[in-house]
Amino acid sequence: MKQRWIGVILTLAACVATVWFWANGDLGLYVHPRYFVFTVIAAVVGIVVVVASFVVRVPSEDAASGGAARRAWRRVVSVGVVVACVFGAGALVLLPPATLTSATADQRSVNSGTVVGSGAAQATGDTADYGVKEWATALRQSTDLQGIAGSSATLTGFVSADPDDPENVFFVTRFFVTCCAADAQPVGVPVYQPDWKSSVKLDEWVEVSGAFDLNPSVKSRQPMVLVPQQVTAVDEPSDPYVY
Amino acid sequence: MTGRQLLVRIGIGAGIVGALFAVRAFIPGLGLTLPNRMQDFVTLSISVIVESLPFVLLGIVLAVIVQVWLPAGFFDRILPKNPAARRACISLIGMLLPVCECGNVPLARGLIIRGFTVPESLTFLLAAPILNPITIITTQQAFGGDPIILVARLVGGFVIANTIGWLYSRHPAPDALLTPGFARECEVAHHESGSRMVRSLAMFVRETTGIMPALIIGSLVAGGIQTIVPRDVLVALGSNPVWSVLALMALAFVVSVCSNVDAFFILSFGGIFSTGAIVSFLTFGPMIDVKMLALMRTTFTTKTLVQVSVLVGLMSAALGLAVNVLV
Repeated sequence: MKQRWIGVILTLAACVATVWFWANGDLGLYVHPRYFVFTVIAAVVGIVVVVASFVVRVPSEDAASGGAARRAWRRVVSVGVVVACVFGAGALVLLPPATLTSATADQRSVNSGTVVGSGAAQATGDTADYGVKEWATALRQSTDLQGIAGSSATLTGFVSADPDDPENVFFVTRFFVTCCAADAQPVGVPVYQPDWKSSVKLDEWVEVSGAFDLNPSVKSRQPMVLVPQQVTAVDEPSDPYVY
Repeated sequence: MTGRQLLVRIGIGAGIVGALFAVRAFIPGLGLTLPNRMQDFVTLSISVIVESLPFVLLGIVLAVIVQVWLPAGFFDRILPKNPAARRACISLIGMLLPVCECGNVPLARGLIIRGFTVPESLTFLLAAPILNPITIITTQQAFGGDPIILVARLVGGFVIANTIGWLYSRHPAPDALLTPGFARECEVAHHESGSRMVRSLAMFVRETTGIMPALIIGSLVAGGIQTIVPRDVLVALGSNPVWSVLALMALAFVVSVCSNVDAFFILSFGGIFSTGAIVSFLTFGPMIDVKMLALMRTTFTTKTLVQVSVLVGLMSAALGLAVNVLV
């Protein structure tokens, strides 16, 4: 296969996948919505230019020089490059779009960063519109946890385990995205429900209603938890990340 | 080429596009699911590809414009003759062409083909992601209350890029810093004939052939490292003034986040890490990360990239430590 086709096929695979993700409402799984217009326009222009480039002949480069050992090494590298490119193009075109899972939430440690925005202040005002991000921030930054006790909340997110007490505490988790999924930070509100694994599954999307109280768990490091009155399984929202 | 041949070729291209859309539409119905870690590796890698793609394509288009459409001698006419002053001006080109770091690689390749020396292209490549209006505005928005971060980032980026440019200007054979493959491409480009449109399309194809495999590989490596390396190890180092600098540089290397928005990303770690560590992150990340190294490898030899990475790393760390001492 001529070398020119590698760039052409990879560009088309990436551009077609991008347009397809956007058309199906899945582009938000990968990049922040503020980049949708720029990303899709670039992908469409990319497709048009690549198709137009089929009419030109691209001069081939001279064969690589060097000794036998160097040529053998280049062949090994070339095979590696082709394998990686086939995998990458295959992932773009063949695999179903998916959001990040609890594996990344665990790996990045829920609430390890400090999300900035609403909820950064004390949660003493109107908290009716607070979601997972706002409550997680308020719980982390508030100096008056007693003031939060008794506040009710209804939160939607996926389930990830509290690493300190995985039997009794789980997080209602969302990923906070700045630019793309690569920078996603897990934010979560701890929920105290002994033996929660008997009723909800890891990674399952749930809606939890309840009120905040001091954490009864002796193992968990979370000082305040949501004590649930109701935990309901729900479908993954069309936009699973928060911004 | 006859009109009929043109139509056939366009038809083949359109057919391939249609086939890719058809495959993309059909396959998700198979309900293929992967284990969590594998799925996250794929999602993270695709995320880096999709986020970088428009910048890479824009960079390639700008490279084509610079090489094919700008008049010969354009840069020689407007840039100073003195090498140091010339590199200082080149490091500000990003103010006019805010492309983001991955798009700057194809643009730097176009600039080399157009007559920039290798040290000049390195200066541009390292400075442009930091010294551009979008990066300045987002850094100001994120750290407006702490002006030392913006000032240190801009001054640090300028000084580091020009120091690297000056060091490599002392190299006895700067062209030896380029890969043989890119050197051959420069030769081909110099002897190309045909209309500007035909040359533009040919160059677009050549650039995608060089850049796209690097983008895919860099994204897979970035996704893989992010899936494997636990982030709490880095965060645990945040309170130490020395280790926090190194930890955030390591984070910048791994995350490969775009320089236009990296200030918002690191803002969320502001309460954990020292000011100097944030400055190091904002200086080192746009110049050197996993994805950038894969892209730069299309143009520069491995030895050159190791040298540049070490030098940029040392200077970024020194900048961060100096800020920690002074603030």
